[in-house]
Amino acid sequence: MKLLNRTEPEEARGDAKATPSRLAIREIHGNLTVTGKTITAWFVLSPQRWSFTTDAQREQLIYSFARSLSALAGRRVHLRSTLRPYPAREWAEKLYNNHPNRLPHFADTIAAAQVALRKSTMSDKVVFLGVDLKTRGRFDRLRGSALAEIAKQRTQLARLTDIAAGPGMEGRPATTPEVEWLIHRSIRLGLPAPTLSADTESSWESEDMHAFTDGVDYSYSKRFASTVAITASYDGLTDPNTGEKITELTRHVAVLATGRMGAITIPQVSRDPWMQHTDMLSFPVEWASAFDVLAGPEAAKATERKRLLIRDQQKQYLLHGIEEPLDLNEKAELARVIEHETTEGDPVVAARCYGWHRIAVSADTEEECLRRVQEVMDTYQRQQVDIRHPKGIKDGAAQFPLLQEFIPGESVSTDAYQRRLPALYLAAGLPHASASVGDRRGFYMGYTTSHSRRAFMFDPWYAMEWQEKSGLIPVWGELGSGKSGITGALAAWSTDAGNVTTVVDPAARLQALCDMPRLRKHAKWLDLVEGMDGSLNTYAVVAEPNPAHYESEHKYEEARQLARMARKTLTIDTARQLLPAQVDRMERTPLVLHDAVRRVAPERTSSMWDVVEALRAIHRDKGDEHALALANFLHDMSEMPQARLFYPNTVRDEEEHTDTLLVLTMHGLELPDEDKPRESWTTAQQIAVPMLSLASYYGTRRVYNLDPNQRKMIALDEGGMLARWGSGQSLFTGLARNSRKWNTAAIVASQNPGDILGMNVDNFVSTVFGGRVESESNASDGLNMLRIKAGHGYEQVLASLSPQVALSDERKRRGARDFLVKDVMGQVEKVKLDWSHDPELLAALANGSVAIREEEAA
Amino acid sequence: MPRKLRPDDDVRRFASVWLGPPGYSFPWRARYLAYMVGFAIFAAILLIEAITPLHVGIPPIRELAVTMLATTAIMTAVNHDVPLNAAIRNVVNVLRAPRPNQDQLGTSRVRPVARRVKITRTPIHLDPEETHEVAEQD
Repeated sequence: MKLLNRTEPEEARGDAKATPSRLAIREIHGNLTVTGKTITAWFVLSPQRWSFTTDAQREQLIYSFARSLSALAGRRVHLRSTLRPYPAREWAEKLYNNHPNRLPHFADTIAAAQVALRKSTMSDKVVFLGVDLKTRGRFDRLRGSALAEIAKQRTQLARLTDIAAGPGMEGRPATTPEVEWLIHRSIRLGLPAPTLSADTESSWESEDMHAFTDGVDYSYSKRFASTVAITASYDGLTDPNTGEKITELTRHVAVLATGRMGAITIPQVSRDPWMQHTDMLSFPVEWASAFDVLAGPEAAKATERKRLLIRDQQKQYLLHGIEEPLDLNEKAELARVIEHETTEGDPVVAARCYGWHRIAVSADTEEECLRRVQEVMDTYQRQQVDIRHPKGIKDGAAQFPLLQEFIPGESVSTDAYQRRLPALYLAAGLPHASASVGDRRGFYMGYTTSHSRRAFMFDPWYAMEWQEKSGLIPVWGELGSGKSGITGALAAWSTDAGNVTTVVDPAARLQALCDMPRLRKHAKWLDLVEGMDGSLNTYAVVAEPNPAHYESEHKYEEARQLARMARKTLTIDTARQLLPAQVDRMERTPLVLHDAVRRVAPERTSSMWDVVEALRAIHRDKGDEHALALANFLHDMSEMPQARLFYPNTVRDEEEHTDTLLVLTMHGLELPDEDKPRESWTTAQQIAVPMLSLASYYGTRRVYNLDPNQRKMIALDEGGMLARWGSGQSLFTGLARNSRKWNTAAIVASQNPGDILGMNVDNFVSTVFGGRVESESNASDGLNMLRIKAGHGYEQVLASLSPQVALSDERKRRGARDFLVKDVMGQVEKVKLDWSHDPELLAALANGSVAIREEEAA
Repeated sequence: MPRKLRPDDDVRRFASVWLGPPGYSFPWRARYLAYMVGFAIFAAILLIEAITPLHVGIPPIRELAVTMLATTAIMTAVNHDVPLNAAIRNVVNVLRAPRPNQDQLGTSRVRPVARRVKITRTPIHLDPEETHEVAEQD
């Protein structure tokens, strides 16, 4: 326990001497603050998901919150909503240390993102709930410490802790550093707040109250001022824009009060919680509420008197023969309804919250502060809430006393602007509803845009390493939605972090990643179409399991058997694709092919030539003319320019690619139009389908050749094509199933979310990136994958993401893209993916796009 | 199912006026509160005049005029959002606030000051048996 010396007011800034204003707080014990009059327990509420939920889910959330509030009947409750700067330094350190195999320039990559984070107004919303545990008596105040009083209240405190932890609140007791931080933040309202470590038990650099109030002055030019200027001294603060040291900062703060509030209907998809409207503004806003929770009978008494007054008024008007005001009868009816709710309704409906709600707006100058005040008023006017800016006698409150209400322990300065709300109405404000997505430890991807601006971090290996889930990452969206950008960014940063990364990129959009100056020495681009004969041998592309990677002989044998089966399936599928459509559809074709493939040893040294030979052997042994015809067709196909990739001329060792980043492209690959029948496909298109699948197998071979625990990434473009045939599906499901065991982040990009859904890999999906889709069926599939209920208007959200821009608008094409993201915890938010902090990456992605367009134009 | 919610404040948003005695309607509308405030001010004026050498007018036209002016001034600051006690408390707060220092920078400065604050970092345990142990650690 620390006892602190009483501070003496020092000479204030300039020549003006500051008048001391003693704060009420006397002690802090754990999560309890003690003043001369009360002991208050403080809790931190968990952020609640609001975006992309159904009406039923929202109603349930509001009702749960109201139920928890109603359980606090008879107590004074405080809600304090504040903003905490994003701990950019802590994030950067964690990300750096999390990748021990990082490349030398990784620190620079992180630093650029860190600077971008600090320059932006990214912050975390933190909501504190304070509940008065006990009103102190006169003799209690005369005693020394309040610990003895607190000891007698343990049962009550335990009950409050249980209520705060309940559904709708999901709060936990605040730690002492958090309480101290809140007090610090409230005294220096609007000024830069120190970073509070996510390690909630860590201590402050400065441990005493003395430091919180030291060097802080409030000033105003007249008693009825519109704002209060808060000036504070800083030591070691740097301007993120100029890099200069700052020793003193001033902010102008205006405190607003909630005036008349209109009726609301809950739930409504289009209506956000009424306390959340300030989250959408471009400047920080804080809330402080203090209210008494009344149980039904208490609230009924308060309303009964008013009801009788209304009736008295009506009688008077009748007696005097004067027409009564139009709304008097309506108020009488409302009073009856309230009386009924508070006496007959369930406790949640009956409970009332009578109190005060203040909003603090801050800015660098008084003019800017007043402009922001007007913006807040206009925002709420549209929501039928009257926000007042009290400045003096006629307004019923003055700025400086209102400002002090934000400090924990300070009492309400005025009874003006008291709002008497049903608990459900207050709960519909949901101060702790927040945009929250991501793992807070991965690469900086962008920020949320649905209700507030919060940083979005993504660690592709978080699902496997921390949540024991699979690492399948679908990325879908129509052409131009930005899928390649996501793949490219994740591939580049994964490489920066030193993780083996393979990209199967048929369209060569990401080839330019290998030319990035920082990746050049660690990356290789390979055009499979230009590869040697047999580089896509159907037997060789399937990796041979390494016994060292398996726990037991049994599991190793099982993996070997699966690999053999994969080779057979792949060979059969490839052979069927190489055959003319009419031949493939003949009834005997699959039977004969199966027979032939069964005769060939499913080892890596076998090839399509062995299948051809096996077919000829069947003809010799059984006189099967069909087998001979198939053998001749397959032999003839070996002479096609691209088909030679399936037919090796020599037996050679598998090529090892040791580069950190390997980009596999297939220039000139002409994929068929899925809507057209196979008979209309050209020979090149016919060959393209197995080529794509074999290229994917080629890429995954790198995954299975490495240590299972080593972090890896594989990105497959045109994932939808894989879904169209058996071996493609096997590859896909195998990759999804093995992603956790092999610690592999598997990114699969497709234009149609339905293609991915159709492969029955739902259980293996961790994070989803959903881009713009306009067709109804795609939107329905996309919402399904995002776990958003269809039919609630969210289809339009998907259709309105990142409107397609003109190809010629190069500047726009380099800009950020909107996606809906579902993270591994199931949280869904609309996110703007913005990589402007990595200009080298942006240039590489843009170059890839230019190359594609030039090729298409040619 | 959608539910409509209204603040209970709406029930209080009406002017509680006294129209006059039965059979005679005042040509003005004034709230009950205005009459009470007016009566209090009038009584205060009479008391002041009684204590001081000031002469009490008969009829008390001057006193009534002052009463009406003062009551009107006070009641303009009193409304549904700002009840009378809040208006009075606000006046007290404003009068007690530090004055702008005209011969210096033209601003009032207030510095928050902490008392002797005791801080215990150990979490408060909810198990009563651990109470003694925690206190000793402190």
